[in-house]
Amino acid sequence: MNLAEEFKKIAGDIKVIDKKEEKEMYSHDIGDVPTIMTKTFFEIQPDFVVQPKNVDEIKQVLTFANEKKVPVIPRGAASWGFGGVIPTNGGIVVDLSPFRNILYFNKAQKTITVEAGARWSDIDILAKKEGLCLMTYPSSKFSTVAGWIATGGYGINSFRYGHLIQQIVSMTVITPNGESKKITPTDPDFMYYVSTEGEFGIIVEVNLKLRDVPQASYPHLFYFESDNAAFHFIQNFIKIKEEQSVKPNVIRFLDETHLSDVNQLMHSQVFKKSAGVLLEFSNLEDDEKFLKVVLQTDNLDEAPRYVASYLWNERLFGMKTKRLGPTILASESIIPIASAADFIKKAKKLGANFGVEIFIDSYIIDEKMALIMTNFLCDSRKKRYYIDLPLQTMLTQTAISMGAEPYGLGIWNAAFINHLYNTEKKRDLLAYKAKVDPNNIMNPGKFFGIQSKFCNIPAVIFRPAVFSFSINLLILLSPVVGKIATLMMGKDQKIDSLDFELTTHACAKCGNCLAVCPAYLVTKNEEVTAKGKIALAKKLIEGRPVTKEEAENVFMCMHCRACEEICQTNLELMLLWDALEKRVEAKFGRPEEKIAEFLKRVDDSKDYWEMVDRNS
Amino acid sequence: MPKKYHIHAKVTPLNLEYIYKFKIERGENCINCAKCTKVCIYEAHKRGKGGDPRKMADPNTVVCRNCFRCIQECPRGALEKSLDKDFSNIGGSYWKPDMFLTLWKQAEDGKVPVTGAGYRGPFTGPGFDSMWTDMSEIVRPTRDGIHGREYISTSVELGRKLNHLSFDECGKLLSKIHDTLDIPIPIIFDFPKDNLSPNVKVAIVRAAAELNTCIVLSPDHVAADIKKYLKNIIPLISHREIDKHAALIKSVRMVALDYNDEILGSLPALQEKIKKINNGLTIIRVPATKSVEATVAKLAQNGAEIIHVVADYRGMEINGSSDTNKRLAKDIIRAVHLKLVEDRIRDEVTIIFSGGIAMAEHVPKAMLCGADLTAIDLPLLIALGARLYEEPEKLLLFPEGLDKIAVRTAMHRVVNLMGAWHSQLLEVMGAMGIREARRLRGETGRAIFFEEIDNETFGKLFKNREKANV
Repeated sequence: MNLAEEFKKIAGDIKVIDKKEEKEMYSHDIGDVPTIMTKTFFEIQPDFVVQPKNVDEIKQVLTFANEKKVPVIPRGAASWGFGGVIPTNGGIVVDLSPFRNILYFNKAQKTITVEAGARWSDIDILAKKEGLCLMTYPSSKFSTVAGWIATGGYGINSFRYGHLIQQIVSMTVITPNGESKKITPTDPDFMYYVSTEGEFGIIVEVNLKLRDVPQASYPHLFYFESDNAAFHFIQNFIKIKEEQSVKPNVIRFLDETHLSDVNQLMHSQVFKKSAGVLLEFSNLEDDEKFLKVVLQTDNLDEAPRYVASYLWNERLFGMKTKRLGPTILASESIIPIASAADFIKKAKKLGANFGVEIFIDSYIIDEKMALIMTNFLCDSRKKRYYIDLPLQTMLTQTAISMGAEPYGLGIWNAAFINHLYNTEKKRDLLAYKAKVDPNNIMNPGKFFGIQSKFCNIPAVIFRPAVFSFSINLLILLSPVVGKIATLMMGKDQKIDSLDFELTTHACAKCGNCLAVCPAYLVTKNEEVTAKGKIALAKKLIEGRPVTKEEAENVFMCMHCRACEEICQTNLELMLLWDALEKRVEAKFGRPEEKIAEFLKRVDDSKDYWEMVDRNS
Repeated sequence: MPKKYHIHAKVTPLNLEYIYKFKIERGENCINCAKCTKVCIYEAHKRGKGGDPRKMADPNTVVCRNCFRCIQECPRGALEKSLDKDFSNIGGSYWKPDMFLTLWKQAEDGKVPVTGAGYRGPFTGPGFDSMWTDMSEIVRPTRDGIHGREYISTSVELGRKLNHLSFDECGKLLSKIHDTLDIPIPIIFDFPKDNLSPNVKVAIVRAAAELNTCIVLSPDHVAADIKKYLKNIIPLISHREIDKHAALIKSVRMVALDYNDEILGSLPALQEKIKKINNGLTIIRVPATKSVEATVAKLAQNGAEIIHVVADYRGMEINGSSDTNKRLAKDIIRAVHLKLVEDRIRDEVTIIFSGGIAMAEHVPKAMLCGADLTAIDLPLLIALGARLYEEPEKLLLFPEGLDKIAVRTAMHRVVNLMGAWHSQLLEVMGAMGIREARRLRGETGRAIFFEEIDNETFGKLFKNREKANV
């Protein structure tokens, strides 16, 4: 009897997903795991997936996992790219994405209590109706609360309000042995559950601080002739901001390539061909003070207000340029502002060696550090993708060599753990892990170190020493290796328009669509979402076998266009659905009864009508 | 007391191409949530666009009663209700688009639809629209009795009446009392000249019979199919053709003669001639020209029994100079009425007015102005789904397939229409406290004329100044 069957016996009414084609959705995040890795390193297909509805069900899963000593992988919107939700050795994926209710809104205290899977966007919409809103939030606002607590924490507004940790009043976690704990930031245990990627337990409930909705938004965009000049301005501004008491919410740097990619997407010259710094203020007073400061600075080149506003309003769609790819690869790290410009220079050179154009998006997170995203476009369908993949790591390695720390570990950055935690701290974490998770069931095979198939031999490459040696060697050789590769395999051209096939590749798998999809809300099945249907379309296009049952999911759609409206990469999804439905219909017929049943379910769903009303 | 006159309505929808005032349209931003389906109590919104149950179908405007609930409740503001182009193009300056909807609805079920959604603008307009009927009795407790306890008679008498009666010394009546004819509603039908299919013709004639009123018809229309209803038919002939149509005149109760100058001289003789055939009454049909009141007065002096004043289809004077100088129905009737009153002969003749009688309210208004009864033509066709366009020239469009509609159906629609008008007449009379339709005639004291009241109220203040400015 397989694991899933065994679990089902005791599962009661816990929802279990164990069909092969349905599990597939749960074997990756926004990135594709290269086949070579799945063959030699990992078993990324989970044994089964559960969608718990309450804390007791989660506990039941953990008890079972402890008994069987199988991995448990908590999962949210899967919009992080470092492999935090990818199983490394099968196991049970705990899908918390449908566990998303907003439980309690305390207007007087300005706090809100939510379930792990609650979306930042939903919280913001609800809070705004009462005159409150989020403090620090991720640029992927459609991700889950617990997901971002476990992985990120620096994002929009963190310059003003700090790391997300400062806005958590309390949270409830379930430790691997099934104990439920309510912890507050003053508890010594608290730190073990923030940014630790599900190694120590599962976050199930969070109480967050909110703030008053600001007066208005005053974004400013300045152009600089070089990245250096831009960071110079940022450093100067941070120095004087205290004495002038100017409080920006956001300071964001975008390089010339980034801005000109946006130009290309819009087929117009909105932005100048230069580096830009975007600042945002939320009240008139701050804005006026800031303008005084600006007046004292010579020769500042400010973009018109509408341009700044446009860029500000597009802040949630960071992967928009993926359309031009259709693949986007990124390296994220937290680097001293002082080194940022130099790093960018190096990164661009490194990219040039491999024939790719690096573009930069950076949020200043405090007086000293900047969260820097080094991105480049490529094409995962081509062979040269295999040299693009290690380039990400080379970029991270370059940043680290300049004083940066990795922004999360997951699988792909696990080798950098020593740059995130010093020896003492790492020992402490390992000790705590041994204490709460003696069977090492929580998200194993990453973070602390990679474990792989074949007696862990392939994983040797991910040992920090070996890894940094080989990556450094690659960087060193990059002028030669990169150029040879580029010569042999050519450069990628940016893509101007998308056909259906390209559309399926341009999907960023960011999961925005999950947050807004009514069909997903009701069925709790990722296959009915845009992300799921694109995966299916990809399969059909590639000619892989597709069962009738999985294909029929494409019909479980309200045609509400929510996915198209929210799509990072602006994909023409409605056209794609029409084509996809036609194709599936030709192959398997149209499941009229199933559709009718689905519609009835939607109509009867309280959650559905709440969603409709919330978004009105 | 005679039995109450009642018109039995019967719901008779006509499956024709409908026109709506407001068309509901579903925008591109519809999210197919079906909230509209939930909130609409008329089932205007349903799923199933192009056979796909997931997509919302186009709204069914036919059943929409303009409650706007779907528009308010739509989470995306995707529904829109807008004035329909087809609707606003119909009719013209006199035959307002709204009238068609009202007439169609009345013809469908004999009920009186509520019109308008709140009042905008002055309570006045040209012609009948500047008349307000007196509703002072509306507070009377028995007002609810118009269909019940309260007896209101809508019947009118047609024919010549005596100015006074004379008796001899013994008290014996010397005067010869003329024959008159009673009809239960102050409305007769005037057969439209347009080429109508046989079923429509028969239906309208049968409706007249059903209602116990009459219909003016050209003798060449009187074929075998309506022989049964001769008592309700008024053949319209030239005075020279009396002998030719003697056979027909023998079996009808009234004859209509087209007016011309010859008639004026030979009038008593012509009437005598018709009387001899079958003791029938004579209607002289006079076009409402500029000098119509003089013509009518002369006819009356010469002993005419019934005079039918015919204005154009918009209730305007015929052959007047420019449109702006043409008198409208209200003023034509008042002029005729006052002229006869001046000549002290008003009570002796019956005046029928037709032309531009488009709505139920026009009947009592025409009577308040001085007509004894009215005749209608276009509303009969509109009841059958016809559309009228005033611009660039009068055009009457019949719905496709009208010639195949069952006579009964068409007849019921006309009866329904008259039922609705009759109810409204009762309503107006009940509110005025008038119990007999005959008493409406010339009862201007029961009406308020906007120009008069405007002049009374503001005339001293503004009219003088305006003059001074000139």
